[in-house]
Amino acid sequence: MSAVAVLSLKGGVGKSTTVLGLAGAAWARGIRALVIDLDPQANATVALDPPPFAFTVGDVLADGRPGIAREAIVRTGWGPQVDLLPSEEAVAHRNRPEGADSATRLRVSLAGAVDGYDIVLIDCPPSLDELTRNGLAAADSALVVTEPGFFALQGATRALRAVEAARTSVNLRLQPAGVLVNRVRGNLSEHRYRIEELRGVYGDLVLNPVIPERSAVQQAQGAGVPVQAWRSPGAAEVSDAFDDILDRLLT
Amino acid sequence: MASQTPRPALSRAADADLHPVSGRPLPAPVPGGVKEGKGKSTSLKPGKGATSADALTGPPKDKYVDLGARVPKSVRKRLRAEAKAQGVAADDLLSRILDAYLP
Ligand SMILES: Nc1ncnc2c1ncn2[C@@H]1O[C@H](COP(=O)(O)OP(=O)(O)OP(=O)(O)O)[C@@H](O)[C@H]1O
Ligand SMILES: [Mg+2]
Repeated sequence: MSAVAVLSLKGGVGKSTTVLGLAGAAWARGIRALVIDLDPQANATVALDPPPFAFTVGDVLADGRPGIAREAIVRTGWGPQVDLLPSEEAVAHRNRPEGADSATRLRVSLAGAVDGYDIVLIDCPPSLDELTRNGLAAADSALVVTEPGFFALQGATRALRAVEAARTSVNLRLQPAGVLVNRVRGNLSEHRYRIEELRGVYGDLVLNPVIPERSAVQQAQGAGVPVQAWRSPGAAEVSDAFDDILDRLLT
Repeated sequence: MASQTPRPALSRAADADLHPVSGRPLPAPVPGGVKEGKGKSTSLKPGKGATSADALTGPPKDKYVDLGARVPKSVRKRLRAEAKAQGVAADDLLSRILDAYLP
């Protein structure tokens, strides 16, 4: 089992889309994925279309006992391959430090509860507060998402610095899984320029392939289904890209 | 793997039904529908006429009465500490918690 925290300190660049795209790639392959939604916006929770649930990741963090996350994990509308530790608005209460063990509560709560999954995908909120710290402390690797814009390099640098800070404080085994460039329009020279700029600084850490911008992503999210289940050329392109990224995360 | 200890039961966080900014009860259930937890809904009853505007205006005013309930001392201590931290009366905080929890 490999646990991946998906983060960017900037909002709206495609963290939830990446988590859903990778969960969908696992779904298409028939391997088991757990999505942990640490974002009080609960976008991943909504897109995964779970049945009514009693508990959220906020209750798990407030409790903090070893293995307690098991009690809050639910099935999703995507079927038995993809499970969810859901979020809700009130999870924001857990975004500030509470006691000495505050940043490692998620990790402790997952102990023994996630052995049955091939991959655990953690959707972090767009900030570097206690929820993201918990995500980084519970993960084996951290995937940084960025868009190919003017702030991409700065954003990726800050996020990778945060990963390094987490590695030297709350999680010694944490590795950077790479920088994933999302919403790429290959015909835009500005996008090509920004990707080259990122590669110039971070080399192989910038993942190949990049994720293209396609309307199928939003259509599938709106319908509560994996993009891999959407029938269109754009959906196929995005699915292929996420499949390659999943390979890289699993090796 | 068999465990020697009983399976732990998770409960809702004390503030799980309070809005993170206003500290007032959340008016709407989480996405995914009304929750089913130990047979009880933790969201406000639709019959109360809760709308999203209630998050800002708070619940309708109601008369306060005595509630002769005994609770563990440690719970009272945590209630008072949390009320102090939020700058509200313990009566108000307890009312909010009960109001949000009860069907
Ligand atoms: N590759 C893509 N093609 C088309 N639309 C996309 C793509 N990636 C993301 N989007 C859209 O962009 C919006 C923001 O994406 P998403 O919610 O995944 O970002 P986020 O980083 O999780 O945001 P937040 O910081 O608010 O959590 C969404 O509407 C999503 O559908
Ligand atoms: Mg998101």
